[in-house]
Amino acid sequence: MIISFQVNGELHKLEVEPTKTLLQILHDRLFLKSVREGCATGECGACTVIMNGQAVPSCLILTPDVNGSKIMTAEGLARENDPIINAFVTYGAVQCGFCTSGIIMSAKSMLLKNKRPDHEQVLASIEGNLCRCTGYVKIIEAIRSVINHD
Amino acid sequence: MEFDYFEPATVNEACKILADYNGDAKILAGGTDLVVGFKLKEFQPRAVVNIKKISELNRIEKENGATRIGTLVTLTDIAECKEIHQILKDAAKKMASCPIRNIATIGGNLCNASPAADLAPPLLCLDTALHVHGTHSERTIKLIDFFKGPGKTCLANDEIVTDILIQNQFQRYRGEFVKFSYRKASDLAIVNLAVLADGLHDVRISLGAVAPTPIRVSNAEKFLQQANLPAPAIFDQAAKIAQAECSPITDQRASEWYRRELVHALIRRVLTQIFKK
Repeated sequence: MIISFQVNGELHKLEVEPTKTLLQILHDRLFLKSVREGCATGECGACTVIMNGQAVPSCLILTPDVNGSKIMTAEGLARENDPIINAFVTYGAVQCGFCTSGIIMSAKSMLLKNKRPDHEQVLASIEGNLCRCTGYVKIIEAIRSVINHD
Repeated sequence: MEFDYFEPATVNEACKILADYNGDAKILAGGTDLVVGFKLKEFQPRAVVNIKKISELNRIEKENGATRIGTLVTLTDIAECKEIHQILKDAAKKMASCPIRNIATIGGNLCNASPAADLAPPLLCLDTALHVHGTHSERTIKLIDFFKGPGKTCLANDEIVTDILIQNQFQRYRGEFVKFSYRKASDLAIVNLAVLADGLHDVRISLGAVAPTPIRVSNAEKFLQQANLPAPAIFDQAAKIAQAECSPITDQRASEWYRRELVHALIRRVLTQIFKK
């Protein structure tokens, strides 16, 4: 089947099999390497992207459901110079980097709905993302640093 | 893997496809159990029926003293909906993680029929009924009659749950939902429970992960009905009676013994909390 959808503002039209997932399209066919497979069962968060305004586990979304949708990945945020990308670098919140883009997308999707999250809400926003390297402290500091306190 | 893929526009179309495949088709809603099942080779259906194009299945409506929740309503929407009792919202909020909750559905959680399904205990306390469509008929099933065993429901091969019906009279009841798990998120319950009460004369207690299906512990409920005072000794006795109504197993998460201990401790704790308010 043919699906058409937007990724980071660009329109794509692809012939796909319904047995494939959004993760496979983004990583393997569109070469958006920030979207990674960690567990393939929706538990690690490494594949998290923003679809139609909310965080989703791209490893569990079958291709037909991508039709007509708007997807955002970390590449899109980087292209727009979103401050959250730089914050992760500045705060030393990246070690191996495997979890990083998924965590950024989870945090970003929370910030899109809640401009002034409290500490608990920041923690809750990344409860579905596993990091084996950092111990999360600098990740949380990086996220908190981009909250606009005007 | 391979499967035939369908996107029916109506419930009737969906039922017809299910009937044609006679048990060898699976419904795709959120996919958070189904697609995982594909990868773990638990599910290898010949056909997948995506019901997300059927828009009337994704609404929350109030009617005739009841709240009708469409089967496709996501866990996020349940957690955020003002019209729904807090114990159901709390259960939804404690499931999986935010990205999963954004696509997982109430219908999927019930039809996957895990004995640990987190929405089941609150819904069982709320005397929930399910509206079900088949190719030639519609019926209403009480949730208490719906679960038949781990992963098994009373649905026929061509049937789909379309709505979850909750009576509004329970809105004023006090309640608590507890999910006892090792992690705060992305975890399955070792034991979960919901308690809903309007005084001692109407206490509802439902447990999950301690039997082949989620259960109501009616003996414990009846005992409380006959009690005079909300005293610690009464709650302790009720918790012990509930323990006897459970049949937990030992698995990778916990032992049978520990689950029984949890049933006792959690029921005692929750009853104390509720009657303190």
